[in-house]
Amino acid sequence: MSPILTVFRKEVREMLRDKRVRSAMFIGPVFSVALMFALFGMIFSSIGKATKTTVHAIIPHHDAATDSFIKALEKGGMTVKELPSVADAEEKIKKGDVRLALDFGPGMEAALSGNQSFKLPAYFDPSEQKAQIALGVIEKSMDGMNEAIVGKIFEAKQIDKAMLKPLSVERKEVKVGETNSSEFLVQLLPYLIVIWAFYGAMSSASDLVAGEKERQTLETLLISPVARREVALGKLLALALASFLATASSIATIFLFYSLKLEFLKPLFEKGLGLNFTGVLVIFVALVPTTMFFASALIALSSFARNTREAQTYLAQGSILVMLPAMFSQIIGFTDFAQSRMVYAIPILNATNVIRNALVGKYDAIGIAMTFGIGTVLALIAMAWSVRLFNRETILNRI
Amino acid sequence: MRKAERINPRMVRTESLSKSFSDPKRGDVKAVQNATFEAKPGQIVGLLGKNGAGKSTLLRMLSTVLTPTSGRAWVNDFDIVEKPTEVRRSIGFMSTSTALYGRMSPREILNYFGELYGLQGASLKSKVEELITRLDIGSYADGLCDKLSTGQKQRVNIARTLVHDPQVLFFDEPTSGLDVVMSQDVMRFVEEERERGKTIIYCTHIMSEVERLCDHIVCIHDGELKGQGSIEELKAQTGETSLEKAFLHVVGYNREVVA
Repeated sequence: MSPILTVFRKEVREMLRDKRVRSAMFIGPVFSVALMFALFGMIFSSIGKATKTTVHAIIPHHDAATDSFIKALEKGGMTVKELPSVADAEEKIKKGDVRLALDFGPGMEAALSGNQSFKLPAYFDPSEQKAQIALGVIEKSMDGMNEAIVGKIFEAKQIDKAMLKPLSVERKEVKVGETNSSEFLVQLLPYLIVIWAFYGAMSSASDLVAGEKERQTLETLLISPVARREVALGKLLALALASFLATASSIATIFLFYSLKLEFLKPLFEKGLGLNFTGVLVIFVALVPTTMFFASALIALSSFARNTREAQTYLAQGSILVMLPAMFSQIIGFTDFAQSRMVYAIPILNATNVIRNALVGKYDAIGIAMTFGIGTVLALIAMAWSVRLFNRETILNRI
Repeated sequence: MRKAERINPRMVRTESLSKSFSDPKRGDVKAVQNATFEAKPGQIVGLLGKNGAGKSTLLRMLSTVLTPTSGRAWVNDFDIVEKPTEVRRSIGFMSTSTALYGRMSPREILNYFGELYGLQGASLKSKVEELITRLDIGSYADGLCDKLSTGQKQRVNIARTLVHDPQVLFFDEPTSGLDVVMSQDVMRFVEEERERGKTIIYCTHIMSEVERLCDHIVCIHDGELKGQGSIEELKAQTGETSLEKAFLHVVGYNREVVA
């Protein structure tokens, strides 16, 4: 058996027996993706419920205009409850008992029947997000009423109702990708997938070299007839596997949650999960060199350290370099840079962009090739660096 | 008769071997200077010196972990700089400070190192079984090393050192931190290996161990070899009555002892 394979097998065996590594490879990615779905699913369904919330109204006396507006609100799914006065409404808003109160004071009926405009006061706490959502629903109901009122005026004057909105936008969506995913998934999942590729390997990296130096087990390996290059490569491949498994765990969890079809997750998956076999394949093509690069760079950083604690400090600093481009990938869609091929020249950001595109079934062959090529070159450079460090006695003997 | 014994009776040989390195605090440190000595098959050569004298650096050069700054050395007739892989195949190295892989069992560790030294299949299996029996580690051979006592770990360490049946053995303070019973066991194994014709370099600062084990003693102090010979030769050279006094005389501490 090749010594590289012998070292690889031993490292994998040890890693799988280590609770911390198992947690980083399986529990962490699964838990973080599950938590993300739970939290955002709750938020999205809460936003949906906010549109069907209760609004309060001060109604000194009921007339046709007031009643038809309230009916419009109730038709939109809202419940309207009456309050005695504006002062009472303000007091309850301050206490948080009332989100929003409409003041149907005198004059609305008279103004509308006299073809005059009327401003309906709405009292709310601007820091309350649900009040903002309710306000949006009220304004939408009001748009409907406005159209009906002005429509009647136009009809009397024999003007085409369409002239209510002489200019408007007609949305014509052009399907670019083969599939669809919610914007939320497209923004967040690439970040999570790449971050777990790094953290999956980071947990064992400090142990593989710095830890072995600290325990002085590395010396027994260096005294064996196995070339240092082979020792480094065996360790590096084991670390790359850890990184890859962490990524695969996060992707598997996404599929698991999608297939569960849970009610509270429906808003997240309303456009489906645009990840088909080709998409998964493309993601792995982008991730294989990325995981190799992470593993090699982590081994090299760990080689510099005298002990596990020192290694963890270096690795934590290194993680910032990974997090920054990964975080940028979440907002890249708002910039012109997203359309540029240059994005595929930037390590990590290119992988997240390929994943992002794969989630909507967009496959840019040149972009994927650039990501794979640049990732492979970087991985080879990092591998050469870590192997070189393994041959430097000043590095390996820093105890 | 072994191949190496046929070729050269001097299994370990050094000629003006030196190692220096730069330290940010201490500047240029001469860890070993012009060390010249040799060791033959079936002989235990003791490297005797206080802590920090340069014993471990010398052993680490001979085991190819450190590259000498100048001078030359051969192990089993292989130059340590030009033929490091062949040197590594010929040696076994053991020290008390070397830990075991905690999440592996003794049997797995022996298999792992056996494979690294090129053993496989039935020969690996029989070698591992032989060592498990010889070192009496069968009762805990399949438990994780993290759970073993210090003495049990040291037995596994010895087995790991011997798994590829090396012709040259380096022991770097192998009894440090061990209780008296385990120390006796370690010394017994060292003696057994000498009887098997192995060449042994035994690094220590414990006089009683040197007196019991070593056929030839190399006294090292501040990186320099101050004297060498058998116990009787050292005593004769210095005119002292004990090895301890002879050693202190050789390294220049004779006045304090006499006083």
